[in-house]
Amino acid sequence: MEINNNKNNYRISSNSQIESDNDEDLMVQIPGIFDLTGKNNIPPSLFLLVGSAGTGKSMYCRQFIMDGILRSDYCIYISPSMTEKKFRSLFPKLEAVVLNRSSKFINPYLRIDTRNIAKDSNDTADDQGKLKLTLAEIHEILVNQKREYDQNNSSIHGHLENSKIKDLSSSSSNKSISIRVVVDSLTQFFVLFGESAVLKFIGELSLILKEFEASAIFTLTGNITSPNSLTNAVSSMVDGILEMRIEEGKDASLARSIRMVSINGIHHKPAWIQFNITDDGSLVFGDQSTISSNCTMCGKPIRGTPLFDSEFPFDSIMCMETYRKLTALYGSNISETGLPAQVVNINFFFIDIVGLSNPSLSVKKQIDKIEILNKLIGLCDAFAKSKEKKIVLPTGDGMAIGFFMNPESSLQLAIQLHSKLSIYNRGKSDGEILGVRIGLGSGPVFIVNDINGNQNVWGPGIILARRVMDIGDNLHILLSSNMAESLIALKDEYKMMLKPIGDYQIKHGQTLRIYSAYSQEFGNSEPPAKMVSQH
Amino acid sequence: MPKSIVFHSYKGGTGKTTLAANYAALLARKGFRVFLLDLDVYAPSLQTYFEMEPDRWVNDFLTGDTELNDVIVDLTSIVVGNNYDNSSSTPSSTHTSSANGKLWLGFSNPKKEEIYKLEGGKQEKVQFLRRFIVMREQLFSNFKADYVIVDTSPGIRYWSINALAIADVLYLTLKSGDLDIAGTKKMVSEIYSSFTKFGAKPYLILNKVAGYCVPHPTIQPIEHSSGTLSTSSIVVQQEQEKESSMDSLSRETGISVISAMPCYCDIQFSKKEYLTVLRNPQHLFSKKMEDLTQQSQIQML
Repeated sequence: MEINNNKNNYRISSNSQIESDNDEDLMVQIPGIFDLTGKNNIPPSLFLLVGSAGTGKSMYCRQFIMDGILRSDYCIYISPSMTEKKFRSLFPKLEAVVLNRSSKFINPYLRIDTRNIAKDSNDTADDQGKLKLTLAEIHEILVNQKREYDQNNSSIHGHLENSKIKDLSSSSSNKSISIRVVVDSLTQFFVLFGESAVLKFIGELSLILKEFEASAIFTLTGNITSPNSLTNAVSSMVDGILEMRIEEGKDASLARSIRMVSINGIHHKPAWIQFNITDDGSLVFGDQSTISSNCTMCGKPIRGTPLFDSEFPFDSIMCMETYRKLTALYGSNISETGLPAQVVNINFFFIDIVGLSNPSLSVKKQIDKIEILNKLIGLCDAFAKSKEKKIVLPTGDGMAIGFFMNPESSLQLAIQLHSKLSIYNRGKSDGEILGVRIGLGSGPVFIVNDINGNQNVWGPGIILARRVMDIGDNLHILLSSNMAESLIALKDEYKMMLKPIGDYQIKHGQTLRIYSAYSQEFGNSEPPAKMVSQH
Repeated sequence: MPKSIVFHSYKGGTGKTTLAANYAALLARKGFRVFLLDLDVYAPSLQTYFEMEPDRWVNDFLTGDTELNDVIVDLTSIVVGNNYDNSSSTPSSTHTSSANGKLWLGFSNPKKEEIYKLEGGKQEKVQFLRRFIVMREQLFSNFKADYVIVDTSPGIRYWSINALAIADVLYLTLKSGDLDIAGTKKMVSEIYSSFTKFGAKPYLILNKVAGYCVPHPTIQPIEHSSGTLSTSSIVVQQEQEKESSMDSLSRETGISVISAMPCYCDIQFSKKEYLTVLRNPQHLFSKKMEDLTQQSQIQML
């Protein structure tokens, strides 16, 4: 898990979940955006990237895709001359599962027309068929991504029905998924497919991408200052033009630079911005030797050594003090200004009552069960006598309890609650038995205030615990791998009670490694039904 | 050392704009490079005060639609104009002469759609805030400002808080009415403390103190038969009440009252706003402003 705070809008990313910061509108970043435009982000746009061979266009596209994957955008890379293996080799530091989940590589020239889109046998018709097939495939990917995203969103919001955190989550319900597309390069497209077919392809692709509010970069080898008819034609279909050049530096090194020639509706001063390609393929803009990150307060790239307050970098004392002043004033509401709030790592205990929504159960009995659960939790020492800071978030049919310090607290609470439940459930009829499932997980969350001014949290930590709980059945105490492994490392007794029970794939192909806590006195030694059915 | 000074108040009508404009003009007249920004974005008025209709507004910079150079308007000519009598000016200790003084203004757009735009969503808000921080930085680094004076919106609002956050010195203006005083106390404890603990210096300016109407018979010295002059007992009493009120205000808020400005009818009820410090440097208000700038410079040392 990493905190990706060198981006301007501060997203917490993890293997499992990358959450946005509740942006109200879809905005994107392209590499070097601040240097190119003086802005931190721009609306989704289609760009033509023009430059001579060797200027770094493909590496710019690579950075664009890399940034997108780290921000959990969905990325499509289209190249008629690259293989999938070559594409994957561009991202050696990304795990295959992450790359698979967040990106798709398409080589239109290698498409096989299984659907007989092009029925003519001559080459031209076949090539056109490949382009049509590519368009159809892209459209299908985008539709599926949007559907999955919407389903995922509604699932999360549905679960938080009636909960305090619903208010927080609802603000992001109208967001769209961010899509990034690279077409690299049009020059090769023209050679392989012919000018008219490719221009038609670009025109149709542009419409699809605009429909899905995607951002895209089309690369073209050439010179914008002496454009040919092809450059002019492509330029008319995009929102902006980027240009790259390469010159020999004073020390015989190659100096690369880029400028934003034009972009619809955004005021900026076109200026050449130097950039460097590092050994690992990353692009560094401006005074490349000294830029380390962006200032949390003013958003500008920091040249030289940044100042730090907590984990946030600043480029001047003035910026740091301004942030401190605003934090002192807004407190945990600082995120309402769009500035990042302090992030804390919390250990979560997420519980819900099994079968509470059973239609045969009267509302009165449902309420009784909720009240009993609340009382039983209140009787557990791990909750009642613990002096560490904690936060309780009712979720309607259960609750989430976040412990700020001790990872053992949430497990101890689960064990103690099971003990009390076993006593309570003795002699009860099926309808009266109080069944619960528990998910334990830890991770970073933002501290925020809800509309009533109550302290609340939101972030991957709580989402992870909920997802772990969702896998379980009655009496399961399931743990995320990060929490289980840190407990096992802590005390030998946990080695005995925490058992790895396998991987479970949730949406977007994301896999969670699950542990189950059980013994003769607590937990459920059976594997969860969902895991059984998946395997 | 460059300073940003913000004029703020709990309620409207306390004289922030008049004080900020005159203060900025006086500093420019003293030879400083001064930038006066209208951050009263919800009800801007400096454009009316200076009778300006600029092509570009502070709003355009904040939204990223233009550069700072296009926004700031050079109004130095009104400060160092031929008609200006600068005989009473106290030369700055660090600046050679008033001829070097400069006054630029950044005006806020009063059109309602532009005001709405600055409210923005969260994504826009942070972009605007960052541009505002960049604006301050550019004024000091690129434009070599000695002072950035900011006229804010009253009360606790998004843009007044942003303005307060960049301030080195906070001037909290208030009238002597109980509503103003009660609100100011609340704001000092709830808002200003967040800024002062990180180095911002707050001061109260008690403005429009009653009883000094000009002309007012009691303000004139009384000439005794012996030929000596004395002040009327009413004036003495008013002065005592003012001093007492300043003391009690300082005690209750924990903030020094740096100045108490009498209410002058010719300024208060003028049909047209003007820079008193330039038009009438001998006016008591101008003298008070002169005192305020001197006090400020001492406090900032």
